[in-house]
Amino acid sequence: MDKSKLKDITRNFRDLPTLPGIALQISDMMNNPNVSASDLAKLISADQSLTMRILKVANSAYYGFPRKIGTITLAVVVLGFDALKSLTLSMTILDHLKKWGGADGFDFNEFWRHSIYTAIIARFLSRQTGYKVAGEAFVTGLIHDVGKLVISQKFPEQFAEILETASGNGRKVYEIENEILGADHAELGSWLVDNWNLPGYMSEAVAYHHHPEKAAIEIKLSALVNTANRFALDFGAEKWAETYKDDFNPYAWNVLKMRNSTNGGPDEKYYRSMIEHELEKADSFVQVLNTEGEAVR
Amino acid sequence: MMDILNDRLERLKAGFAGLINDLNSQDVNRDTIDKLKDIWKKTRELYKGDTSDSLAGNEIKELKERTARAERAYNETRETLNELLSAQKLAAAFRATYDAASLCGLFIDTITPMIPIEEIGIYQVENAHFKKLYPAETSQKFEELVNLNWDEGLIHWVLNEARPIIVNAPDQPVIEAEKGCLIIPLIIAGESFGFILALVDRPPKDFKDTDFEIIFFLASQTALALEIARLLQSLTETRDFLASILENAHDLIIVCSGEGEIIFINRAIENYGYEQEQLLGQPVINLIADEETAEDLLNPPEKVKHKNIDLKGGGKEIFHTSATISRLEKPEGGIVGTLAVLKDISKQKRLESQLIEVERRAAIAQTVITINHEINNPLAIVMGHLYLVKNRAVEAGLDDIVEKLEAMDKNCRRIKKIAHKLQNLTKSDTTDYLEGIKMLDIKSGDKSIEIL
Repeated sequence: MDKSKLKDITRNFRDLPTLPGIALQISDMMNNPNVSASDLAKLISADQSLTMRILKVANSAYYGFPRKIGTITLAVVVLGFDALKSLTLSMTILDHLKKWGGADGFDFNEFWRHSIYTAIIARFLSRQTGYKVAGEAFVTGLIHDVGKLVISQKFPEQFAEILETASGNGRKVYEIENEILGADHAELGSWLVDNWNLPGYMSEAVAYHHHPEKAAIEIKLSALVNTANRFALDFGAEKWAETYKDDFNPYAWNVLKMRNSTNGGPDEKYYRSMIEHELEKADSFVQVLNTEGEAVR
Repeated sequence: MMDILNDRLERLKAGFAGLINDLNSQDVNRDTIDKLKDIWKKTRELYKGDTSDSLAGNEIKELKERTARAERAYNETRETLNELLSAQKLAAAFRATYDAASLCGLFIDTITPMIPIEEIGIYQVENAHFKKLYPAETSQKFEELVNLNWDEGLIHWVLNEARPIIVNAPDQPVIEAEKGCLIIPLIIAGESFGFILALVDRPPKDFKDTDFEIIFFLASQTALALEIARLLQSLTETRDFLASILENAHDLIIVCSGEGEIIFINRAIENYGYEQEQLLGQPVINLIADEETAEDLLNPPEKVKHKNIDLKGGGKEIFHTSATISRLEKPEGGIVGTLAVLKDISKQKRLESQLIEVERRAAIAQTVITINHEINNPLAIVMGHLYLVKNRAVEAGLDDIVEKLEAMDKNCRRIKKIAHKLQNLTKSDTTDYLEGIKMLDIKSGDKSIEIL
């Protein structure tokens, strides 16, 4: 790894805007089980746009709650603390990332879709595999590829070079990134997540989402994001998938104790149909997530 | 400037080391976390604007990570402790009873100090209907509340989501509701089989994440205990049913261990002159009259085998039985013991031998009739002529001939006597004639003559 280059990256990094205060407060709350519904509601209610969108999501077909949810407090106690915290954090992060826009050649909409799909699939898989905090998986899935955004923004020339090298030769993109930049998007992403003061487990899982076998503490979360990322590529645009698609990681599959087919390999078909259904269900949810914060305000 | 910085860093490090020590000794408490956070904040301030320096950056990162880890450890420990404390009491109580109503009562007793409950009910869901498990009496208003939530689909939603929720109680204002309606699913192995609904006297907005966790944890414990109670009851019923079938079966049923000890024997053994209790734990071989047949009981054949076994009765008499012997195997392989079902065929055997005797005597009677006819007739002629010849010989004074004729007459009479004995045979006894060949014992015929 070229040290001067790496330092260069780190320096540039600090120029990136930090997350808004509300995201940090929610991130703090995520680790505090003593938060009451009204504490969380108070924080969310301070942001009108956020409040409206959360109520919209809570009343969406995705949650299918039989009664109308009119207040954030009710949304918290009905949808659960975990879901609300992760939802709020996700929305603020999404709003924040949207301000960056995309560089030439970077399909921002596809990046978007892939991130949200990965988040939804990670949450689905965390329920399937008994990972306790589905909300963690959701947020981490959402931000796992944020390093790509950094590369396209801060190193547009190298980004173009990476895409060019990657097109058609079947090599793994993160290897090419390492060659050209000295670090791949996973590592860059984890630095950014650290910089944002988000919980340590998120940055670790982001750092190892292509190599869950290297994770030391957040082994299961890294494996979840890795597998969700791979599944999400099946449902995204072809060009994006072509560039980034990888095989299912057998290590992650085993860590999550997911079902194997009769011939011993991962039984991806079994999960794929369920995921398809889950993504269909989440359609309304994605629409609200995608609503521009500014426009509502 | 660097010296001062380094000095302060060293002091922070020392304080940090002490804290790590505290952490390692598992005395993690809020205070430790706050101290860690403080150190982390100070370190951050110290290096403000210079986080690119690799040493400082690493220090900060390490502190930050440790703080986060310590905080998580603390939270986890505290949560676990809380859960343990309340669950401990419940778990201990659960061990004492398997009665569904008592279990529900215990759950309510445990949860009442934590949440002010106005009214509560525990329900079972079966075939899209719900039925109350506990308590026997609930107010009409409460019943209406349950029905409302059921009809509205709220309860289904909770069962689907598999986690507890609290909504405003009816006729409460939307914003500042004072009372809530708590719905908790009862889940076993991912399947909801019932729910708990409670009207609580606490504003829903005051509920915390931990409240839900503890409530859910306790409800899960209750669900487990209820399920165990249900399984245990059905298990007991099945076992009693099967046991009574075994116990009252007419045939004798013996189960013996791989070592040949009797581990089960049914009441039919009383017909053989034993008490059930006196045989349990005894070697099965004690019951067997013939040691050769005992082999099958000790080493049961792979296939079910039918054979006759002679049993020694309690009064030393022998019982003939027809037995079905099968091997008892563990599902994973290996012999556990032997199962033998025996039918007493002693009476049948007796009848069989009587039948044979009757048939044999019939055959003898026919033989005797034949002999009487075919021997007595010629014998009478022989003896008649012998008498005439002897008279002639006496007249002629042929003494040596008379002597021979008398011997002939004597033997003819012997033949006649034997034929007569045969006629009076009552038993088909035999005596040895030559090796391997038997002949009829006609002594009984002799006796009958004497009697006659």
